[in-house]
Amino acid sequence: MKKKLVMLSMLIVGALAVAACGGGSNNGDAPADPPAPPVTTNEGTQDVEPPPADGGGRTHLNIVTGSLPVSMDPIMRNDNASSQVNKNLYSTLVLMDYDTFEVLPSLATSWDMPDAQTINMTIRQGVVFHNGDPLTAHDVQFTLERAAVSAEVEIIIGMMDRVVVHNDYEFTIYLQFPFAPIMRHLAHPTLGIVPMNHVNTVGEEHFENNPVGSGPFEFVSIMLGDRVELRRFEGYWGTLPTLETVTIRQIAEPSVRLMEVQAGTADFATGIAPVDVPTANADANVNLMRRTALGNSYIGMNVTRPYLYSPLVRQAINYALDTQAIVNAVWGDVGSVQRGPFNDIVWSFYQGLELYPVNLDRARELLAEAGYPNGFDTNIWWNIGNGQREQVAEMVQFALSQIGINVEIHAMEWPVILERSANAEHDLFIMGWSTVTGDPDYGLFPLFHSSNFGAAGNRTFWATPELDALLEAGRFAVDDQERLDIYREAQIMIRDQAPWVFLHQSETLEAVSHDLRGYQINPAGHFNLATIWFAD
Amino acid sequence: MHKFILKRFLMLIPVLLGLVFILFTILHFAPGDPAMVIGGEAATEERLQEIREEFGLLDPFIVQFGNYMWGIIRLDFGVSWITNNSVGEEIFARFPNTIQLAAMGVTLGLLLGIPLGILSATKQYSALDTGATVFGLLGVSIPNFWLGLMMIMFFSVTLGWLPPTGFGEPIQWIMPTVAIGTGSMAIIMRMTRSSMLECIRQDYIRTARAKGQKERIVIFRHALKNALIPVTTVAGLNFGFLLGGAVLTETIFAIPGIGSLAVSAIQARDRPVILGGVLLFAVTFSVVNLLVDILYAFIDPRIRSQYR
Repeated sequence: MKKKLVMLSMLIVGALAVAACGGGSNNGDAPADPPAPPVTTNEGTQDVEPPPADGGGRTHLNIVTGSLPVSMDPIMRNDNASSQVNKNLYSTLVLMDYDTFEVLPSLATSWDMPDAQTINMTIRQGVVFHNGDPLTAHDVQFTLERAAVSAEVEIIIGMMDRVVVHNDYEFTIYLQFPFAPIMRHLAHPTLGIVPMNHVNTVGEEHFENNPVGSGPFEFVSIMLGDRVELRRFEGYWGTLPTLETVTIRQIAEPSVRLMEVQAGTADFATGIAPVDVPTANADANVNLMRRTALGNSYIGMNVTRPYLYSPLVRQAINYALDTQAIVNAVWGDVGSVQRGPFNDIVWSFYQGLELYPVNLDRARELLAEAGYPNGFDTNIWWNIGNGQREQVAEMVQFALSQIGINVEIHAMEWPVILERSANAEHDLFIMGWSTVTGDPDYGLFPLFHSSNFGAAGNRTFWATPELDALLEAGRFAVDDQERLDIYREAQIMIRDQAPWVFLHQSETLEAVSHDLRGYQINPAGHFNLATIWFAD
Repeated sequence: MHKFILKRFLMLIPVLLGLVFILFTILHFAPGDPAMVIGGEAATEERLQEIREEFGLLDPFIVQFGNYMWGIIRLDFGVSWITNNSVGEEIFARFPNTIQLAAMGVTLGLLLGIPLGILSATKQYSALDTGATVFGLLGVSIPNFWLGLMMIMFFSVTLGWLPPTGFGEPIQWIMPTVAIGTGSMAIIMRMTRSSMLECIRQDYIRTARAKGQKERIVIFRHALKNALIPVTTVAGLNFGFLLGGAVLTETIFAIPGIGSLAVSAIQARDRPVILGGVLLFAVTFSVVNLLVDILYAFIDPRIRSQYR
C-alpha cells in the first residue's frame, strides 16, 4: 500500500501517433487547406484499428464516467454526459472529422449549399430506428423543427427556419439568416434524428427515459444516479459494432474511476485527474489516452469599468502575466497555453498569432500612457470549488502587484458570478468556454459580438463595429478561404484589443484497459463506442 | 408509554415546519438567479424570463413557500429544476441505500465497539487497553473518504479481492461499511470504556462481587446494563451523523444514495431536490432519536417509569 502512496516521478510521454488526416472529399463543405492541427488521430470513420475477423476478445464494455445523462431525448439537454450517451443511441445527418473539421457523410449521403441560408440534402435509404420504423425525411424535418424551438439547443440550431421535404429521402433546410457553419452544427449529438411517429405516440416525457434512435446501440435501462445499460442494435445501418453490450456507471470521484480500470472492473474511465497521470502511466493494465480538447480557460476584463476601458491598460495586464508559468504551475503538462481566443485545434486558428511576451517595463509604460502611472485597485472573481481558478487568481494578484495594480481576490458561488457578471458588476474574471463545433463562429460570436452582452455570453462587454462586421461576415461567407481570412483578422483584432488574457487550453485524459482497441478521444467530449473492440 | 410516543411524534410537526421554513428562506434569498443556473452560461434574456415563469420564480416569496408547503402536505416534493424528474421518486429510490449504509455502519460500530470497550475497561492499563485506545484514536481521526480510497487501492487494485465500487451485491457492502463504521466503532468503544469504568467503581458492583457473584455476571448484568445508556445515546446520534457523513462514502464508492444526490443538487442550486433531501434527513434523524428514547425505557426501568 505504501508503494502505492509514493508519488512516481514519471515523465509523461505524450506518445500519440499523428495520423494523416483522412476523409474523402464530398460535395459539401470541404475546407480548403486548413492549418495543420498538431494532434493525433481523427474522430471520424477512418484511422481506427479494425477488429479481427473473429471479433477479438470480450464483447461487453464497462465504462465509468463522472455523471449520467440528464436526458436521453437529444434536444432536452446540451450537457456532455447526455451527449456522450446520445451520440451512441442516435445517428446524426453528418459526422465531423476532428482533425480537419471536415464534415463527413452519415445519414446524409450528399448535400449542397447554394447559399449560406439553404442546404439541399439527400439521406440514405433503408435506415431503421431501434423500434423498426424506417427513417425518412419526415423524421429529419420533425427532429430539426422540434430542436429549433428548444431553448436547450438554441445555440446549436436556433438559426433554422424550416425544413421542406421533397420526398422520403430528399429535403431542403432553410435558415433564418445566412449561417455558413451550419454543417458543423448538424454533426452535433443534440441533433440526432428521432422517430417522429414514436415520439408523437408515446409522448416526450416517456421518450426522454425510453429513447429510440437509429444509432449503433439501443437503450436497455437506466438506474438514476447509478448506471445506463445499452446493447448493440442488430439492425444498425452502418458497420455493426463488435461490442454486444455496454454498461455506463457513474462514479463521481476521478481517482476511483482510474482505480476501476486498474482493478480490471472497468475498461474505460473518462475524466482522469491530472494528479493521477503518473499512476496511470505506471500501471501496465492501463493505457492513458490524451488529446487536446475544445475547452479553454481565460481571464476576461469588464471594459465598462473606467480603468479597464483603455486597450492600453488591458495590453499592460497581458504583458504583466506570464501565462506559461501560470499554466505550468496550475495544470502541469496537462493541456497547454492558449494562444488565441479559441484553441489551436479549432478550424481557422491563426498560427501566426503572437503571444504577449512578459515585459513589465512595457506594461508600466502602457499604464502610464493610459493615465494610470501608479496603477489602480481592482478585483478578480472566480467560482468557489474550482481550485485551479483559485490558484490562477492568486498568481494574477501577485503578478499585477508588480506593475502597481492592486488586485483583490473574490471567490463566489457559480450562480452568483453568472448573475453579477451578466450585470457588469465585476472587474476581472476567470471563466471557460468550449468551441464544441470546432468552428470559429461558435468560439467567437457568443463571446465577442455586441448582441450577446451579458448573460448571453459576452461578459467583457467589449465589442467593436469592426469585429461585429467580421463575425457577421464569417456567417455569410460559404467559401472556406474567405472565412479563413475573416477569422484571421478577427483573431488578430481580439488579441490586439485584449479584452481577454488567453490562458489555458484543456486536454482530455481518458484511461482504457490495455486490451481495448479501436477507440479515439473526441475533442468535444462525445465518445463514440461503435468502433471499440478487445484484443484476445 | 403510548401517550409519550404519540406526544413525541406530534412534536415533530412544528420542528419540521420550522426547518422547511428556514431552509426555504435561506435558499430563496441566497444570491444568484436560479434561472441562470437552469438556463446555463449563455442563455438569452427571453429564455431566462421563460424559465422564471415556468418554475414560478416570479411569484412573491410567500406564494412560492405556500405552494411548496401545499405540495409537501400532499407528499409532492415537486420536480427537479435540473432533471425534470419527480423529487419524491429520486429521493425514495436512493433512500434505502443511504439508510442501509448508515445502519450497517452503526451495527459494525456496536458489534465491535462494545466488546472492545468492555475489554479495555475490565483490563484497564493493560497492553490490550492501550492498543484499543490507540485504535480508537485512529478510528476517530482517519477521514472516512481517505480510508475508503486506501481500501480500494489495497483490496481492489493490489489484491483484487473486492470490487472497488457499487452497492448491489453483499460483497460490495464490505468496504463502504468499514469506511463509514470505523469512526462510530471508535466513538462507541471509547464511550463504553469510560462508562464501564465509572460503573465498575460503584458500590453495588462491590456488593455484587462481595456476595460471591461470578465476574461475568457482575460485568454483563450489573455493570454493562447501567453503562449502556450513554452508549445508546451516542449510537443514536452517530446514526444521524452517518446519514450526513454518508455523502463522502457514497461518493467514493459510487453508491447511489441520498447524500450524493443532495451534494450535486446543492452544487446545481436545485432547490426542490435540496429541500426534499434535507427534509428526509431531518425526519429520519428525529425518528431515530425518538427510537433511542424509547430504547432507554427498555434498558432502564427507572426511565420507563417516567414516561407517561
